Order: sequence, then structure tokens, then C-alpha cells
Amino acid sequence: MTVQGIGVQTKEAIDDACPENGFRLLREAGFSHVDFSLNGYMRNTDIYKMKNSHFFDKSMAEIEAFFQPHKQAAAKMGITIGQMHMPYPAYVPQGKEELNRYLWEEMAPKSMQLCKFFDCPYIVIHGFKLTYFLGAEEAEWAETERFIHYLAPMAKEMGITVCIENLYDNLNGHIVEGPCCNVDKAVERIDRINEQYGAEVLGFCFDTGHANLVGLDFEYFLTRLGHRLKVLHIHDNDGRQDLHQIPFTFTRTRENASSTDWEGFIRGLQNIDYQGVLSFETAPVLTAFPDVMKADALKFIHKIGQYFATRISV
Amino acid sequence: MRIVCSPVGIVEHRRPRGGLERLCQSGFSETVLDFGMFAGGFAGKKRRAEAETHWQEWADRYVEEAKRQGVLLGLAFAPHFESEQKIPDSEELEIRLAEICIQKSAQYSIDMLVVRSLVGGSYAENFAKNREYFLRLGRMAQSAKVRLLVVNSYRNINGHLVRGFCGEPAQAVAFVDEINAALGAEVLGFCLDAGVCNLIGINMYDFVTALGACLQAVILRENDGVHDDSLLPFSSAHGGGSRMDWLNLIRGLRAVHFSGVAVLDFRTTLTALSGLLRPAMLSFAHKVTEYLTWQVQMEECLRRYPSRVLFGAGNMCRAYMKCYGEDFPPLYTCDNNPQVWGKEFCGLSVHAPEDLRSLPEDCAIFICNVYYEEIERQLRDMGLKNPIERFNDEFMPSFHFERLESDGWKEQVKG
Repeated sequence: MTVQGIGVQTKEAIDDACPENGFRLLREAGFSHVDFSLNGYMRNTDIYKMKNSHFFDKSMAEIEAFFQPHKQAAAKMGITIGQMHMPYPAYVPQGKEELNRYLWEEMAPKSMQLCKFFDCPYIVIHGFKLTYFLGAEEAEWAETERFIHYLAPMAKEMGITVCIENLYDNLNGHIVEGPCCNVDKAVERIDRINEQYGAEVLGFCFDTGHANLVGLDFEYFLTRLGHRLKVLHIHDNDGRQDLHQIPFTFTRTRENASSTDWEGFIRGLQNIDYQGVLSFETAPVLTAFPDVMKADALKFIHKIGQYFATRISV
Repeated sequence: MRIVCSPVGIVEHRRPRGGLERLCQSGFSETVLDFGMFAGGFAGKKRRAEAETHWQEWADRYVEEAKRQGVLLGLAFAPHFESEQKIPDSEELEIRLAEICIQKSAQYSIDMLVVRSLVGGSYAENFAKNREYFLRLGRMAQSAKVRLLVVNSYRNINGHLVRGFCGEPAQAVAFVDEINAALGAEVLGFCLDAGVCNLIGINMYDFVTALGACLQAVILRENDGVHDDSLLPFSSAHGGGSRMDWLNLIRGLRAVHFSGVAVLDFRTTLTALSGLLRPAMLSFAHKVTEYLTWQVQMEECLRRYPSRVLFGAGNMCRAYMKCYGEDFPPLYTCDNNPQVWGKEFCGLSVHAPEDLRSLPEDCAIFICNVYYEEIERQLRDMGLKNPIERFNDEFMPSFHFERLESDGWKEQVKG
């Protein structure tokens, strides 16, 4: 079997002023899918600073009108919006109640509706980072699960699968595991919630970069996830910082072999016969390379996607 | 929790007397038998023959000297070789030495031996390989009456360290259960290497609580999360704190009421120091272990007394009530501030210190204020004979989202 397609983030590729140009660029680079970066409209860096972009103040009709050119351009270029990233965090532990209410009551449901508007089957959310305060990971998950139960009826009605993603946290500059890094727990939780709703309301988004930062065993994790794996965030880093770079970029030894376990990634996807989209979360590559090289950088990323697709389908 | 100091970096393997004496002088009463200290020569072509001939004799001498000095040996480590050491037959050698170490441990009456897992292949392949290995060792250990401990490990992906054998809590529990079920007895336990956990950023609270009773030993060592060093706890500081997740380790050990062996290993810190400074560092390391023991056993200490009162009506008292107020309810709290006497704070009535005179004898006073020494002196000067303990909220099972700032806590006082 083969994968469904190769995708990349819309962030840094699509300009709201003229989405068609961006989608054309992606089409020419070879991409069949995009990961719609809705998180770009309410940035995490702002949310953590307790700033509200107020993007979701608009009515749904206004938001849909705003994104109508994007939808049309994607369709015109033959690109499928295969997954979307909801703005995050959806809860700030020490934030004002007003902001948290906005995230929960405005941002989240409107994100779901927009996902439906784009006919996008998957929306990726971030679990809440609360273990410092709450202690046990189970207590942290209980809060995330409360959010999932809030989204799940909408997801079921709209035919969308909400995907949780493996995250990291920062301990005085050292990266440690964050929500959803324990695959055994993830499997149990996804199955339990889906059974409860009688639908695939919850799935998993495996983020290779985050997994690399906390040394997850790619093959073990993916194999254990199995069919619960719905979407991917493929990117690379040096194992120390979340750099979102092109796979095979980083080495650590004089032999100069990749320090990220891409072979484990391929074996894991082979083991579970993954047929979804190989989606890259590599927006920072597009700001790192000179603007005139953007098209070439995208083509190169796509080429790596083709390499993965070939290896996985063997 | 029993603190044991690793001899590596302190004790010289052929002449152990001086190093063991320094350990004792620093306050450590127990160490380990690390067979790796005597098997280091196996890694070099020139020294291999000498190591083959003498390593057991050196171990005998070390054990003899420890006994002579009254230093306890509660745990042994089988030698382990890294692939970077490029020993052609390292796996066969490691297996052979582990088998001898089981017999030697029994001979020395050391009842627990830590054995590192073998490496190679996918997780499933590695599991099968180690299953066979530990079953074989387990049978030998069973007849020798030695308990084996397997350790969490990492894999090296071209210089980047990722989760290896028993690197995930579920994997560790499954492996220990499978071996013990096959052997029909509790032959295998687990030794958690906190340094390895930090290198792969795993949540140690989850790991420790998943292991529960199979956790027999923990290796306390710090690193920066990138390099596999063994630093003194809290010494890999960056940006205002340690890069080691002590919070979750302490939370976990406290949650499972850990009563096993905690091996302090800070060989990297020691080897970087001049020999002249090592004795001072050893004494400081002992202080660090006292602090860690205090933190881990905080709840045990609360449980020890039939009743208790708190001293202090501030953030620490608030933290106590959040985490322990239900299980270990204090009779009341008291404070030196007359303005809050007779009022209520976090559900407790606030008393004047004078009221402590009417406490039952076995009621403990827990100081909930960092001015421990001053308050303890005040209470002793009052002639109180009650047990006085120090409570601390640096490593709590959970925290409030906000601390009460400066005098903000007074707003919480009802009256």
C-alpha cells in the first residue's frame, strides 16, 4: 500500500493577501496536501504572554468569508487540506479567566467549525501542560480529557477526528517529556474515548521532532499506536531544541550519520501499514533559507517525502 | 530510603583503604561493590591479562577492607562495557562476568546485584534476547539466593541518546513480571537510573509509580540532559535551576514510600576536582543526600506521629493543607504574628505559640517556615518537649497555581 500523499504546513507558505500564489508554489513543489496552520492566527507565544489576537471575535460567517479564498485556491490547485492545527495552548494555568474562557468558548469551537468548512478530517490539539502544578500525569490528562469531551460531540457531528500530539516541556533549558509521550496510556485513552462516542473522535498525531527531543523509540511508539495514528508532524532537530528543520539535517558524531532515528520511523510506519499523509511541519525552513530559495527548499522537502513514501511502501 | 555512596571516583580499586576511610569520615556508612571498578582492565589489550588474573582478588580485598572498616555493602553492580570501548567480545565477556558476579555476591552475602541489559535490534528482538539472558542469570541467582536488578537504559543513535531497553515504564514492568513469572519467584527487581531518565527526558514520577514494589534501587546522579555524566545532584544548573527533574523523582519516590537503596553516584564531579578538594566535596555530598532523604521521607515523617500541629500560617502551611491536610490533619497552626491569633487560615485556627504548652506529649510540631533554626530555638526556649520536625514545600506532590505574595496571604485569613 502507498501513503495518501505528501503535505506541508501552510505557515510561511500561504499569504492571506493572495493564497493562490502560495498554493501554486506548493503544487509546483509537488505537494498534494497541506496542514492548515490555524495556530498562526492566534500564536502560542502571544497566548503565553496573555495576549489575545481576538481573531476569533469574528462571527463564523466572517471567518469563513476570510478563509474562502484559501479554500478556493487550494481546490483550484488540487491541494487537499488534510489536517489542521488548532491554536494552542487552549488553557493557560496562570492566565486570566477571561483569556481561558475565550480559548475554550470562542477559539476552540470556531476552529472545529473552520475545520469542517475546509472539509478537513483531522484537527491537532495540544494537551495541557500541568504536571508541575497537578503532580501526576493522570491529573494533567484529566484536564485535557475534559477539553476533549467538550470537543468530541462537535467532532462526531462534523466527522472530524481530534488528534492529540506528543509534546515536550522545558526544565531550565533541558527538554523533558510533556503530554502524550506515553504510548501505552495514549492507546488506552484513545480507544476508551472512541468507544464512548461510538466514533473515531480521537486519534494521534506523531511529531517526529518532539519525539526526538525526548528520545522516544520511534519504531516502538508507532507500532504500538497502530491504526490510532492519523496524522504526522515530520521535522528534525539536534535533539536539544525544537528546530523544525529538514529531516536528515543533524549529526552528532564524526561519522556524520543522522542522529535522528529515521530508519525507526520508516520501520514503524511499515509495521502499521500507514496510509495517511506524510506531512512536514517545517515552516522555519522557509524563513531560514533566502526567499528566492523557498521554492527549491519546498521541492527538497517534498523529495524527502517521496523517499519516505517509497521506503514505507516496500 | 537507604543512602549508599558509590565508591567510583573515591576508592582506588587496588588500594581501597584510604577511599573507604574518606567515605566513612564524610558520614556515609554504606557503599556498593561495583565489580566494574576491578574489570576496567578488560577494555585494554595491554591490561586484559592482568584484569583476568586479578579482578576477583581485587574485589575480595575491597570487600575485606570494607568489612574491616564496618562499611556496609548492600548492593553490587556487574561490569558493563560500552560499545565505544570497542571490546571485540564485549557481550560474551559481560555475560561471563555477570555469572561470576552472582557467585561472588552470594559469597560476600550481598543480596542484590545490578545487571545491565544486552543491546541490539528492535525492541522486540532486544526483549527476546534479554529474556533469554535474564532467565539464565535468574536461575543461577535463584540458587545463589541473590536478587537481580535490571536497569533502564538508552540507545545511542549516532550520538543522540534515545530510550533503550526497559526505557519506558510499561516495558520495565512487563519485563520484570515476565521473568519472575517464568522463574516462579521474585528473582528480578528494578534499579532506576535517574541519570538515564534525565537523558531521555522521561517523567520519573510516572516511571517510579508504575514500578511500585519492583523498584528496589535508584541511582541518584545528575547530568545536563545531553551528556551521560554523573554529577552531584543539583549541580547541573542553568537559567536559575537544575536541568534534572528532581521534582518528579522525589514526587515518585515519596508516592511509593520508597524504602530501597539510593545509590549516589557523582563520579564526574569528583574526577574533575583536585584530590585536595574531594574530602570537602564528599562531606557536602553527604549533606545533599540528607536533604534528599528528608524530602523523600517527608510523608513518612508526618505519618510517624499520632497528632501534629503546624507552626506558620503562610505559603508553606497552605501547601501542607493542599497536599496533606486531609490525610494528616493538624490540630491547628500557630504563628508569631498576634494579629492572626484566633483567626482561621486554610481551614485551621491560628493559635499563639503559648498554646503549644498544652499539647499532648507525643504531638509533633511541624515548622512550616524556612526560619527553622530560629523557630526551633524559640520552641526549645519555651521548654517544650514535643517532637519538632521541619516541613518543606519545595518538592510537593502538587502546587497551587499561584503563591501568595508578600502579605497577600493575609487576605486568606478569615476572622
